[in-house]
Amino acid sequence: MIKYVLWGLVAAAIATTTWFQFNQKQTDVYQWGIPMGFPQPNVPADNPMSDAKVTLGKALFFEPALSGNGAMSCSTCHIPELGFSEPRKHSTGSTGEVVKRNAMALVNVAYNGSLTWAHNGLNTIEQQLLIPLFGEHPVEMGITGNEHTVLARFNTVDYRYLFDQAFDQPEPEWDHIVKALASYVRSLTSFNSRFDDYAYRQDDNALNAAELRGMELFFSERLECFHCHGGFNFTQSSQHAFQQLDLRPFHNTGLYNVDGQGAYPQSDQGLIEITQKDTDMGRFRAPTLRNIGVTAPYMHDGSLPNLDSVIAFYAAGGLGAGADSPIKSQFIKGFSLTEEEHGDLKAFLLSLTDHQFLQDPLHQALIYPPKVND
Amino acid sequence: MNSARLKKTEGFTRLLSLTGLHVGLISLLGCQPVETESSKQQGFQTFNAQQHMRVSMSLHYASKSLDCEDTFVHGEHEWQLERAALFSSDWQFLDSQTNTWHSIDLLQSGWQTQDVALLWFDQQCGSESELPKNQNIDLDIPAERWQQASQVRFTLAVPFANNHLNPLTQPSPLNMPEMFWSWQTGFKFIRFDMRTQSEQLGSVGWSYHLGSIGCESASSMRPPQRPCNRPNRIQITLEKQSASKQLVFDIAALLDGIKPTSMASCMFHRDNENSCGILWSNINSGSVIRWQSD
Repeated sequence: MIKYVLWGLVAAAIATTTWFQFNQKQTDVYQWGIPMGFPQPNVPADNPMSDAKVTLGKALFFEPALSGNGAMSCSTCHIPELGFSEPRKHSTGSTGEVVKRNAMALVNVAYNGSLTWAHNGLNTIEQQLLIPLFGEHPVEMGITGNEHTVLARFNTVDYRYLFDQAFDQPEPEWDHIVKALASYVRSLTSFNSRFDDYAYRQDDNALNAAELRGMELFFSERLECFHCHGGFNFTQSSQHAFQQLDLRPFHNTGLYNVDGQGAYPQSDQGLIEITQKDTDMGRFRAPTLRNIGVTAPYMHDGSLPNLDSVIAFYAAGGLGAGADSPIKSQFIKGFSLTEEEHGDLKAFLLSLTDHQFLQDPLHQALIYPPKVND
Repeated sequence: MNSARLKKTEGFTRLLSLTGLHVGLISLLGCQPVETESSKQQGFQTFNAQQHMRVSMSLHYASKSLDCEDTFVHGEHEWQLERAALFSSDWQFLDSQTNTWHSIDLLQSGWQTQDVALLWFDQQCGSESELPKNQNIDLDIPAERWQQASQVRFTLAVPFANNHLNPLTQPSPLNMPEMFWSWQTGFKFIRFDMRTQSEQLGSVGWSYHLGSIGCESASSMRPPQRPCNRPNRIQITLEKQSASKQLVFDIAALLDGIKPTSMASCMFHRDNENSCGILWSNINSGSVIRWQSD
């Protein structure tokens, strides 16, 4: 009898403990803004998502005090209504120094296997963020040399509360700033374009006839677009809950060929600058095409001003001498389109715009931002 | 997994770990952890602890083994592979005692579902940690069962039932964009991209992408309801060999009669792809996939 009572007590204790732990954990699970059916992105084990980190990260993202001289914020180059991209050909840092590349859109970057235009060693947003924050060649946010000054600006009642909520520690520190910014950028997911309605929510009426014709062109072997802009993010390097393999594809599109051998201009030669391998000359990552209608200008250096010029570029199989580049991707062969087909393809690309994401007030700067010190 | 399911799963997992029930449950189900560490031995091999079989495949040009960044000469030009990958499925063995075919499940990993395996050859030299590759197929069959086999067969394709599903919800490798055409046509079962460079020709790329064609649906983002007119699935049957053998994919046999510098690639999108017929004949000839010779 005593034996049964003891077993019963043990079982009750286990059940009670489990119940409390189960319910306590429920409040900790971050709610992704991802529609049903889409996989969750991977998150580094040392920086799990939380609402508190995203809230802090958003405040920091829009805060000019995060730059060395207070002249710019992350949002200066990553503008929310433009899919967190910029309309300039290339960025300019806080001290006026020219950044050689066009700022990439921050859309579904949580899924990226690799980050920035051409780097095979940056696997997490936490790593990538260090470049714009602390980089000196060129200076972007310009924090290096100003670390203590910048950090002191966030030692306010408002920010101490936000840091405490996010990290159980009110004092601002750089590791927590980076983790919060990464969490915010990771939270920027966009899956509500009309193409998503058609393809993934099976709404046959979501796309019009021209857009459907353009979609067929996009996915055809004749145009080859999907070879590099493949998968649900229209970039090959997606990783998520169902896909852990990192295939890291980079491509030379024949944008330049300055020496007849396929070389890109000295100012920016792509992945070769990281790997030092000749085969990586002019290779860049295929960026997502989500919201591509609002992220002009295009290509890594912003050299193509609009979608018409991009379609013409791929139709020609490269730009100028780039069309004859011996090292461009073999899927950049060129093709001919009728005027109607050109319009159809462009219409399809515009259907990839997620207006809900672009207009979401949650993605705009706070009207009353947390206070910082002067 | 959505958040609600995640919560439930986490809660359930916690319940199991608290009570120690998981040990008992797994024992009852007969599950055992799977050895995934590869040994240096090539070809068929058994994992000592779990008795699963591994089949390895390597790329060859005739008798020459092609490792990363190796080139081969075909049609008087030197070629380098840029991508080589192929799916296999429906693995079976012929039981020599009963003379009946039996299905073999695949061990699940990033390269395999229970039904489908992807071989993915690396074209650049680099450390294991830098570049993904997979030259193995791990079969969920005990060694003693394998010893009874006299023949083995498999299909170089993704089965129709797996070929046109929502890529968002599929496990790896059935969600890899590089191998996916569209919901309508499904996957490229075989993908070979290669390139040659010479002063005479400049740079010439050539590709063979094989998958189902003639698939009828409302658009490229809608699956067909019935099998495609040309499924293009090839079944390979081989005599079972000793444990030291590995499979060879012979590019010379595949390209026999093909002049890539003057014949169009075969990617099933142009009328003048005269290479497709020759390639189809070659790959069905039984000489492309074979055992490595002694």
